[in-house]
This record gives sequence, structure tokens and C-alpha cells, in this order.
Amino acid sequence: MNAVGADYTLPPDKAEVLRRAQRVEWTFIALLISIIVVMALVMGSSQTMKAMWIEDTLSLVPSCSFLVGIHFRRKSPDEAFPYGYRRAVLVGFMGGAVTLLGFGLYIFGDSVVKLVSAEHPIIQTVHLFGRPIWLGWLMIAALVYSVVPPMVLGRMKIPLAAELNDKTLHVSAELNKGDWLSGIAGVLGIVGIAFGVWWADAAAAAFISVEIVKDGYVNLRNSVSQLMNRRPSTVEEQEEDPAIDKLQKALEQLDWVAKARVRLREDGDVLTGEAFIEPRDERDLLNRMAQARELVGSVDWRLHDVSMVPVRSVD
Amino acid sequence: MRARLHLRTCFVRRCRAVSAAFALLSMLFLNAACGTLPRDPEGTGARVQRYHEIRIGLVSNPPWVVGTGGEPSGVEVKLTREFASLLGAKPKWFWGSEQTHMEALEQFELDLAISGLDASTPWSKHVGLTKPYFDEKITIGVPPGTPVPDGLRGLKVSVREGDATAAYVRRKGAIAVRTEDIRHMPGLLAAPAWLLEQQRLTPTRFILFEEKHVMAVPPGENGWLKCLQEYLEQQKPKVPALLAREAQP
Repeated sequence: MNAVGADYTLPPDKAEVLRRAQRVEWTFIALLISIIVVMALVMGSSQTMKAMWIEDTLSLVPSCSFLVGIHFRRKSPDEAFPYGYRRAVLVGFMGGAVTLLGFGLYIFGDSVVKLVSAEHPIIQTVHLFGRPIWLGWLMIAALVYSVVPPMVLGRMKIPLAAELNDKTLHVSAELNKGDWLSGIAGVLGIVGIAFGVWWADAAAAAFISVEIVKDGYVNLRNSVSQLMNRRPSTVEEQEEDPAIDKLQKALEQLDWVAKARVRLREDGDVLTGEAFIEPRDERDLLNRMAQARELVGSVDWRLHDVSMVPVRSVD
Repeated sequence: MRARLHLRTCFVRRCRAVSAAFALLSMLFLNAACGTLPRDPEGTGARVQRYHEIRIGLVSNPPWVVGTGGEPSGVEVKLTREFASLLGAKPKWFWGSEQTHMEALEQFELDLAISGLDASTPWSKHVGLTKPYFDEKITIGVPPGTPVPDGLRGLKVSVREGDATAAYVRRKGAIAVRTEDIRHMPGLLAAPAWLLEQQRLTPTRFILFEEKHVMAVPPGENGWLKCLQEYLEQQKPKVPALLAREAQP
């Protein structure tokens, strides 16, 4: 029989924020699919378009893993998974990061080869409604369209991620910044071709691929450090999470506690771990430990299932 | 009789006037289309405008490109000759092989290459191809008065010897009869639809394969490609007539 962990419920105000974040991500995914379709239609043989299409397709990964993760982390801990499902999101996230990194490196290599061998990209002319139109103009239109949703929705995600302390959501917002930056680079690449600069396409693609590699690296580092139980850090600045100190101080303020040391790790969006307590006074210890456990929830809403361990000495 | 003849010459004359006006119009249109964006990285279009000359590589492939000793002829030769005159340029012809011409295009030593090229050519990775200007359907024709068969299994079909068509015929379950001259064979014949019609055979629904005819330009010369592309798009309706004239025995 396992000691199955306790259920976790978000505070009501955070639950409302989470619902908003979910709505934003669903909207983004719907728009992104339309972008992917439009890009595929006008892709042609342009290197820039190939890079952008891959970047946009892979942009689905963080958004989808956020939504899938939310679905799974609602599940209560059970016999099979006594620590619960709150880290479920990391699985998809890590896979996505590796793919992003791999594709980024591939496109970078491909673009460099095209630059070195001075390959001149061909962009066809198509006939739409009986009128000839250079596909490059359609590509630019598609790229401009692809810039708007990540720009607007990415901005909306940043404060939501901070409020929910959700790294996946934050990374997905960061990726959106890369998306619209590379969309603009892509437009410059195609405009370059229009003005007879053959290397503009491959150069833009190389720039975009550097952006993809960076995304992949950031994601991979984030997911690996969470898997390695890295010390919790704030969503924005990657600094030490203040919750550790706050809990330690709160415990040390109890009159029966001589010293306290807290060790935390991130479990998806919540923080969990152990608090080692060195009592000044060992009388009625069980009741006092229960009192300390109640204190935890009031220090920070993210603290969950923190084990209280009485020790002879914390040092 | 005389009246009818008069009417005919009149009609022809009017036709000429109309076609001259049309040519003038399309010349203006082409000039507008060829001067604007996108530009050519290696300046092919600008060079044609400046030196009034288009360097065209030819590979013999009747009826598309035909070498007759003197001036070249064929469907694609006629098309490109008219294209050149619309641009106020003269074509400079170079006979050679597909390999040498494609390499020359890749190095910007030719402005255009014609060889009855198909859109599925592996050269598409190295040169610029226009969109198809003519879809050639290779099908099976039946002689007049003969009923159209329901299926091809076990039937004898004549094909040109040394031609890939035989394999497609076999794939349909028919027996390929390879002959040197398919023009005088009785019974079923596998050939392009236009050729079948010319021999007064009825093309059937058994389409063996399609050849999408394109022309090749230097890689990345997007303005030049667009210019040629627009011209070919205008010429599309004329191609069957050109083919019929070219294939006259």
C-alpha cells in the first residue's frame, strides 16, 4: 500500500486565471493551424518558408503540452502515481524541445550549404482568378498573417504565466516572441529575393534557424532542470524562488522552533519538498508539527504536500 | 464561289489585323510585366532588353523542337521565337544536348532552353522551370468504326519501339506490339491524344500517363521566369493548333 499524496486544488482566483490562459492557448492553436495551412499552400521552394513552416508547426508543441498537461495534472494522486500527475506536462515538453533543437540545427546546416553553394532560389508565378501573381507576394502576405497571432497572444500569455507560476506557459510565450521575430526576418528574405538578392532567402532562413535552436535549447534546459529537481526559480528572471526563504522564516518564527531548513522542487506549477525542523522544545511535538503543516498553505499558494521532518540538528 | 472566296480573304485580313493588335497589346503588357519586381539576381531580363538577343538552347525532340537543316522549327521554337519578337529581341539558337544546355543555364550562359521538357525532370533542382503550358495525355486510340473496348486486358496495342509507352501499356494488362513506324498500324495505338486525333483515331479514357510540358530558364531569375510564364499562359490555347500544324506529315 502506497502513501498516496494529497489532492491539490488551485485557489479560486488562480483557477479563473488558468481558465483564461487555456482560452488564450486554444485560440492560439486554432490560429496557428490556419497559419500552418496558409504557409503550406504558398511554400514553394523557398528556404525561408520551409524554416518558418517548421518553426510554426513546432510552436504547437509548448501550447499543446500546456493544455495536455493541465488535463493530466487535475488527476488526483493514485496507487500507481503516489506523487500525482502535476509533472505530466514535462514529458511532452522535453520531446518538443529535442525536436526543436534538431530541426533548428538541420535548417541551419541546410541554409549554410545553400549560401556556400550560391543556390539561387526560384519563386514561381501562379495564376489566381485568371491574373498572374508572383508567389513571393503571397508568401509575404502569409508571413505577415503569421506574425500577428503570436505577437498579440504571446503578449497576453506573459502576465498569465507569471500569475500562475507556469513555466510551460511562459516558455510558450517566449517562443511566440521568437515566432514573430522570425516572421519579420522571413518577410525581409522574400523582399530581398524580389529585389534580386538571391542570398536573402537562405540568410533569413539561417537567422530563423538560430532562433529555433535557441528556442530548443531554452526548452531543453528548462525541462531537464525540472526533471533534475533544480531549486525552484521565478518564472521571469530565473532567480531563486522567494517561497523557500519565506517558508523558512515563517517556521523559524514559531516559538518552539530553534532552526528550520527548507528544500523544495518544482512539481509542474506547484512547489513541494521537505522542511527540516530543529525543535527548541520537544514537548507535544506531534501537535506542533501539525500546526507547522497548517502554516505552509498560508505562506504561498503553490506550496503543496511539504513533508515536515523533525531533526536533532539541521546543520 | 467567288463571293465566298472574297469573304474568306476578307476574314483572313481582318484576322491579321486583330492578331496584330493583339500582339501589340500583349507586347505592351509583357513589357510591363517584365520590367517590374521581382528582379533577376543575374539580370537576365535586363540583358535581353539591352542587347535585344535571347540565347536559346535547343535539343531536338519533334514535334517540340525540330532541326530541319536550316532554321529550327517545332512548337516550342515557334513559341519562343514569338516571345523574343514581343520583347523586341532576336533569338540566338544553340543546338546541343540536354546535359550541356542545363549546365549552361545553371551558369547563366543561356537564357532559355527548350527540349520538350517535362515538369518531372530531375533538372528542376538545378534550373528554373516554368509552370506547364501544355498537358500531353498519352492514351490509347481506336480506329473509326471499331467499338471502344471495356478493358485492355489481353488486347494488342501498337507502340513506338524504344519508347517508355510500352511499359505503361503492359501495366494496363495489354500486350505491347513494338513497331518502328506507328503511323500505319491497324488496330489499337498508344500515343499522345493529339497524334491519335491526327490519324483519325478516337482517343479513349485509358490514359497511360501525362507529360506536363515546361521550359527551362537559369536558376533564381525570378523576373525573367515570370515574364516567360505570363507569355506562355497567354499562349496556352494556341498550343493544340501549333501541334496539329507541326505534326503534318
